[in-house]
Amino acid sequence: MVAYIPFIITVAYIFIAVILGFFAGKGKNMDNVEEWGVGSRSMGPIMMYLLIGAGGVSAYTFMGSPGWAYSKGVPALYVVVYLTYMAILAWYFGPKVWELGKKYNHVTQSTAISDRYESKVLGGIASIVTSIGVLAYAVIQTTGAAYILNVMSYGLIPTWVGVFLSLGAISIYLYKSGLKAIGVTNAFQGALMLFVSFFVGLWATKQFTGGYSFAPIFERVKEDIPQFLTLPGALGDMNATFWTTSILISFFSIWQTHWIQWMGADSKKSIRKSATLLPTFYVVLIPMIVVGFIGVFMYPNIGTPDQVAIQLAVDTMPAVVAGLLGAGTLAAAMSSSEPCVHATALSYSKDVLQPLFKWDEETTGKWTRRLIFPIMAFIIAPISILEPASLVYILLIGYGFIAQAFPAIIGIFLWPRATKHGAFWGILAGFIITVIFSFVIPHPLDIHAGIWGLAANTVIFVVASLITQPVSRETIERFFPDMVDELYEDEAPPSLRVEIK
Amino acid sequence: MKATFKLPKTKKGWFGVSLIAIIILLGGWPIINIFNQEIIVFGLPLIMVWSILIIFLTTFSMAFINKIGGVD
Repeated sequence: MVAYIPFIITVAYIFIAVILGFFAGKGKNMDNVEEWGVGSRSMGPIMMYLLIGAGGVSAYTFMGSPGWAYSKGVPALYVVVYLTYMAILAWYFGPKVWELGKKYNHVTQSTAISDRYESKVLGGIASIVTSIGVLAYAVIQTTGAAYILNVMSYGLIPTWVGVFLSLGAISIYLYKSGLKAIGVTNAFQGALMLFVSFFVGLWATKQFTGGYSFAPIFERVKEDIPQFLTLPGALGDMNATFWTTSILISFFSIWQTHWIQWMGADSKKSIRKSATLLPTFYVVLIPMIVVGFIGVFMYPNIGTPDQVAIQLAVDTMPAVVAGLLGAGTLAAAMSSSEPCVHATALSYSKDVLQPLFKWDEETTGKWTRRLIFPIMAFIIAPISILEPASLVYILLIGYGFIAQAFPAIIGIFLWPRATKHGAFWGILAGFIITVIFSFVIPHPLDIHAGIWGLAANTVIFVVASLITQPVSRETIERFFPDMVDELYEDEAPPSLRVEIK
Repeated sequence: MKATFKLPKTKKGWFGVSLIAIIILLGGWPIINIFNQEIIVFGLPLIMVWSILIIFLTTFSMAFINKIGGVD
């Protein structure tokens, strides 16, 4: 019975998450897009801090960081740096996105693209293509959740049951409470991750060194395996150039999920406050990375490096601590997959189906939350169960594409002359270059494929915008009200033009 | 229509942009090479100490820019 305590704690976490999420939206009409999609823009800075923080730390980072530390060493730290820099994007763009969304009733990134570039087709394309990356990410998280349940139950819960269990739990509270459920469960999950990471890191250190200082661990690393202490790491595959461009490509990626999370804030100030403190959340990864270094000495021949933290917990820690790590990792997986399901349902409904079938707001509202079921049952669940080897490739393409939307987003907030042709051809060129430099000629000059794609995208975005017709003055007045006089100072004012005609 | 890019309008705005650019430069090439050494500081690898410092420098910079009103 004692052997199953970690499993019981892990499953108990699911029940707590379901209860918290289920009651988060109590008394609200969730058939309303505003309510279900962005929680009526009601979240304060603490909730936003934990929502964005927990969403950023996925199972991939929670298990993968010790895995990378185990196999490569300090290159694992690039995750800490890129997550920190992503907070700068939330800090700068978050309040602008929120203000624009509130003013013009945008809830998704694609809706803003449609509106700014006066093209529903461009918005629809952006929605579908970015969803490839977002869904692939949700699949990886679901696979991670199923894996944790499988390990913690000593194989009693097969992968397919684990997939349905984690998706089933998410579907209950996501359907019932929308973004509010994500906010409340992520807050719980974020707090759990912070606690578990430090607890497990310090516990493992005490076990390994007899004290709580990390110094003996790294002194031994320096003596026995010094290549783990510097770039390019033990496997020699991350030099300073690849480190830098990997950080930059992640920095330039504004996910659909981030956009929607920003929309859920109760004010611009709340986003700015939470984003300012957001980097401090990512200290959570440091103890987990230390656990990876400890694993190098305890398990010199482990088959799958990503399993090192779980293996260490199950073998050396009391059942309760191992159970908490299981729950923390499951929290990381679920907190990262549920925003993906939510954002995809919201964007498909608002940016693809509503314009396609000319639905009114009420019909769109009804369909939005119901879409989570086909998305989970027909896309995420089957692919998660099959665990295709090509999934990593899909995700790579997805990441590549998400960053390619960056110039188009710059056109929404900072460059009025940007046009739909510039945005479309830039994204297409960036996407193609990223695919070629990911799979045919991988990362030339050790520069990340996505950065090459982004460079081509930016050039084409600017050139194509300059040679095509800008959007109407009415749209410019809505998006850049403080620049209108400057932009049109050489042209006759609209009233005068009417008279001349 | 002019092809003007929206730029900061105040000195504080330019200061904010410059500070953020410096912070981003601190985390990558060529600065990272200075910290890419087999040295243990405060019981941690030098590059780990630098990464943690970047976390707090980023937060401090954003807080400072908020305080002076330097984000346009």
